[in-house]
Amino acid sequence: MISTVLKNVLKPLAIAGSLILALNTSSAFAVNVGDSAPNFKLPRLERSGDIQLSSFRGKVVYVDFWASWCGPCRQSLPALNSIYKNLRKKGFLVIAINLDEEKSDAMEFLKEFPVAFPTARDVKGITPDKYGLQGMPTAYLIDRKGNVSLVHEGFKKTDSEELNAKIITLLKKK
Amino acid sequence: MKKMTALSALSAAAMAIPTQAEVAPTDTTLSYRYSNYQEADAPRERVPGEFSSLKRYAIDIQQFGYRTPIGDSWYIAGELQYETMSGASPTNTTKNAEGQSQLTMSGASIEEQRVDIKVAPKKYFPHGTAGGLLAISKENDYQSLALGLDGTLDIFKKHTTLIGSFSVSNDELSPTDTWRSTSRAEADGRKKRSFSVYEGINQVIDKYSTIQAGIGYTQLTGYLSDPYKKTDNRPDRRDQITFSVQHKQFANVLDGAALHSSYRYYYDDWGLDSHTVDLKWAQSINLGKFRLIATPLVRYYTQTKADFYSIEQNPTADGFISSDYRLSTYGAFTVGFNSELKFEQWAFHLDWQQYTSRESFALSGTSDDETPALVNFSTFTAGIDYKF
Amino acid sequence: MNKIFLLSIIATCVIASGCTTVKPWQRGYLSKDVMTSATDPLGSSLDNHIYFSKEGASGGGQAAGGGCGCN
Repeated sequence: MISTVLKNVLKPLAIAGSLILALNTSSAFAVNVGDSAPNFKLPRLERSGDIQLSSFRGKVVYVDFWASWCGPCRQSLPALNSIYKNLRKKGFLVIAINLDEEKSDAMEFLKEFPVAFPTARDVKGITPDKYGLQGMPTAYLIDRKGNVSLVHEGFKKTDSEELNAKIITLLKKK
Repeated sequence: MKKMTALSALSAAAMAIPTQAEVAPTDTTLSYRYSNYQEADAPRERVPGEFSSLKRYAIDIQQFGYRTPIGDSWYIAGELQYETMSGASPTNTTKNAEGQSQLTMSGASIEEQRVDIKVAPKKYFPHGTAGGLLAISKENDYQSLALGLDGTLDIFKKHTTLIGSFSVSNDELSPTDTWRSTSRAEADGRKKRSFSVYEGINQVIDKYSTIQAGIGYTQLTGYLSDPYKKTDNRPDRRDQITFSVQHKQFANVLDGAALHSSYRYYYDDWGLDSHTVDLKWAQSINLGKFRLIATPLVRYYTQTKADFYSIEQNPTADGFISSDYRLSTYGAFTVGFNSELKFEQWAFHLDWQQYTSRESFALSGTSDDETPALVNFSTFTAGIDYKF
Repeated sequence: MNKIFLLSIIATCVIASGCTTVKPWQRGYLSKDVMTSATDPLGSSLDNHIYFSKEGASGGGQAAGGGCGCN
């Protein structure tokens, strides 16, 4: 009885199911190292007004996509805050784009992990789509010329040092 | 709880298998739980002998949990269970002169202890996990060792997760007071082995819901009878199959809620088959700095009897016989309420469940015979978690 | 047998086509603890321990089947 079930039901099931699911989630475009970073203009999260990426051409910008429910973000935001405080005078900027559906969730998170760099909000998810985000969190390190130098997925405590080094290298370039 | 093999620990530890794409947790958690399990007395009118004790099992269980990340992508979970048990269980059932079912309770009330240790390391990869489990259980009259491996793989951009696990266990019996009966003496030193696999798929349906379906197969071999029961002779092999589905649905009620529903179909070659339906509503309520998750739950369980189950000593043609209620036809309802109060790094738990079983609750296949040994019990748990 | 086969195919197609694309940043609701905490590991460990020793059936759920030595 078991082998008939396996043959007649599970095999066709697996094939049909896989086809439909694969079609549902077919590949999309993603921004890679060397590409020009897509511009965005988004409302600020913690204050009024907008923030636009192109107005910071000439600086080294770290665009970080985060959300209150993303575990590694609890490590990344404080770590980035330290790096920002050290390197802002040399022309380093972090723009942290929040993707929470509820603004209150984002504000609660920032109460627990306050940051000195600007935060923005993209509730419709247009910007992460433009960048072809594959996972949360993902960050894009952009050089002074506006090109993507690094795509950083996830975040572990040990990433800080490496990031710091890469940012300093980019800051030295004109 | 008697003779809990370490293999059943696998079901529990395997609950730690992430069913959705996850990263290695970064928190260390210390947990403690105290639980009390209390069975209702055996029915007075069914137990002959006015001095027979009606008291069934009362069990105290303490659980100590420790889970922590190791390096960037490893996580290890450990649990220690310590249990003390007292009370009596039925040795057999019979029918009296009027054709009514009767229960014979074991004479002395036992006092037993059990220690259970489980360790489960897990490695997180970008698109899946791989884990293992070691479980050891030891009590006065039984010891068990189990090993398992499990893995998950995310496909279709983490919308689908393939889940697989495999485990084996090896147990040894050493019944107490082997002078009391031949079955006890015979079972002493006998072994029981098991081999088990589970394959499942977890699918994200939309932003608010997921569904998981899976098939499991287990094979038990060795001494499978109950040495403490009078005239209990079961086959030395049991093949078990389960088919299960779980669904989770988020609902925007108050501060967030989710409905968890599951169904399991079980079938084995002893003739037993069962259905289990489980419903839980997890409701989140913000109370200033505290957050409460209140979870009422219901469960319905029904099973049909094993081929060789009989209320009296009526062995089948192959000589198998058991009057253990766990192989009879019956149904059972559980109602319960779990609560978790979160405050900063702390979580406090308070859970309660009441289980009631009756022949008449069975979905199908009732007989005219009553099963006086059916158990009703209630459990109560209090616990604390600390994350850092 | 054929009926079950047909029903399963239909069920899978219905479920699969009902499955929408959920972008990585749209996983907030799925990560909420009400969605995950109903199966707290120590709690399920205890529940399974009890059910597998007090009932005829065992296993199912996410695990390799139980093999309870509960006699």
